[in-house]
Amino acid sequence: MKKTLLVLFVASFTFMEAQTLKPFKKFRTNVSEPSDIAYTPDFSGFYIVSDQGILYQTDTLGKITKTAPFTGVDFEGVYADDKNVYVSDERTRRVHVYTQSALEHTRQNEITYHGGMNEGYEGITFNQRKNCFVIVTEKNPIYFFELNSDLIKINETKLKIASDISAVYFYKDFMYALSDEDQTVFRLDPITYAVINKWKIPVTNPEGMAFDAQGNLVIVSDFEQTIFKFHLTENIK
Amino acid sequence: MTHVKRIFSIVAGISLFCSSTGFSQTTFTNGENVLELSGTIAAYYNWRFLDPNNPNNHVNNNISQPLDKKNNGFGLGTARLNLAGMYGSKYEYRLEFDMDALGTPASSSNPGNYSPLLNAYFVYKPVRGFSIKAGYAKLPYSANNMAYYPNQPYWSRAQIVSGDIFSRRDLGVTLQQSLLHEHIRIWAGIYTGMGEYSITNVTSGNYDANGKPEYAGRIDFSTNKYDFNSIYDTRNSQRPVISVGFNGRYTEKTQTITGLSDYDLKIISGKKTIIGMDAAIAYKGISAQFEIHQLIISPTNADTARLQGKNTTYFRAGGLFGQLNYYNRKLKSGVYVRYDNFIPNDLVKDNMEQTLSFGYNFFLKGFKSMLRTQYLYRLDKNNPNLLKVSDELRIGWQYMF
Repeated sequence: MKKTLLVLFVASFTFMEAQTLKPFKKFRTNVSEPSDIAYTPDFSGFYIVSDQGILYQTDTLGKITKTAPFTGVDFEGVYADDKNVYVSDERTRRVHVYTQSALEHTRQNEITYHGGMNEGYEGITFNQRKNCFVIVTEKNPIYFFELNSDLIKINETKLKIASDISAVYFYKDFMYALSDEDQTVFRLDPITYAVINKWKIPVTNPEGMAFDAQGNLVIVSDFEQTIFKFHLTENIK
Repeated sequence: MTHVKRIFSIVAGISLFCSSTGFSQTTFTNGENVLELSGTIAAYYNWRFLDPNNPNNHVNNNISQPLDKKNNGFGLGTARLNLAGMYGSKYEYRLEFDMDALGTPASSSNPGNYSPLLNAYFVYKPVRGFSIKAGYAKLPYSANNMAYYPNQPYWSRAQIVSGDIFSRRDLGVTLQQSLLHEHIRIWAGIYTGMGEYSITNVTSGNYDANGKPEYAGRIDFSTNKYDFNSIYDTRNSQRPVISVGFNGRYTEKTQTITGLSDYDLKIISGKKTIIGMDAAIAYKGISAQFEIHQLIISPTNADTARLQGKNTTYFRAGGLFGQLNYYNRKLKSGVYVRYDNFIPNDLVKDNMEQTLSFGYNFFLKGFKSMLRTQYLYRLDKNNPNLLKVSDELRIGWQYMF
């Protein structure tokens, strides 16, 4: 009886454990302190933002091809649609909008948040299911703020899914969130943001996340200044 | 046993309180100016294990008197209020106080050798990778010295970096240059040389008569940009992170200040050179740090008595520490063991103090709400030449807001 209970106890932990992915490709970027990553609409390169408040355009190997002339303070999130590049500034609580071609700064808006200076907006994406932008605070607490097309806050959801969140990305009907401290990628329900699935990634200080044209998961590490690619295989859950 | 029960009751109480409250670290911004208000409160219960056979453990150092238990009780590790801000991306500033020091006001009989001010500086970053810091701040000497106290697992630092041997803060200017994406970092600075006394009425702004400053410099190399606060490998580094640093400082004074810190080594009449090196490694939750420092002092005036009448012009003091740590995120726990030693004067025989520290941390909410424990086991307790001979247990909680 005791043995059975012990086996069940160990097995329960085994099933709760998230699957650990292994990178099939990695390469260094010459962007210093990269904090988030997004593909250009035609997948011909990346947009990468840095802790120094700079938006870069790079080739597919992460080498800088263009630098936006307008700089902020601490850029931590980036998202690109067909027309614009949207960047979140963690410390000044702003979303900046740039043009795709010239990386020209066209507008900005403040989304007020009085949490810790270094615990502000870590990621930005567009939730196609709810037709709104989403920006996320890092921790203490984790908030998903929903913004309308004018970048004005229309809703907020407080989450307790991870120690922190360092990036968000909407891909194929699901919201994905990346936790730096937990080294984990979460698949979330796009409406409720409840966790549906999760994967461990063996990356130190993962700060940014995207998906390539083949559906591979792309992670950028600030600490290692490296871009990793993973096959996002489904696990048991 | 009663004490142990009391300690655990207090810790459990604080734990329950902290688990039900949020964190109110607050930031204000207008787009260019960003100002953050935060703070740290850490309180503990300290118990010294007093050996009744040691006269120094008795009142008036007299073995016929009762044991001196004045240090068995509650204490504040820190009570900080921190204002940190930035203007655009080129200017930063910081004003930090330890309110604990407000409880010991200065007077004519008490010269006020401790200031509540911990940091008061601004930083200018004219180009990427280069910065100029001016004001009252930590000197760029010793990796552990530059680590922020609330991010430490222990209540007290190793003796050699505790602030009793060399000053940890001073008024002055520091230049910093980072190279190769922060794999190499270089610091150089000039300071009053009066250390923490520079802003107290020990000096009242009147520094040493010879007017000579203190110079300090440091260079470190690391496989990834190294964070001094990474005592525990909370990042769970997936490949080894290694850092090595070398530092030095030099000053020449005609003044001596005694009776305000252990060993009276901080301000000495004469020439004082300090050299040190440190190394750190972290990999998958396991981390280790090592530091070694040596002071070479050529005393003048009354301080020549420290030469013990020997035929030499200088004496040496110094010490080291080595620490091994393990952090487990799932268990919200960390454990550490540290060995440190210190010799206040190499011309005196058998005066090496050695301490073995070990402890456990429970992280209710990371370092923001954390149980801190530290047991200090003194080696060579029966040596009459040593200043610190009692084992100590310190247990308490830290809360950051």
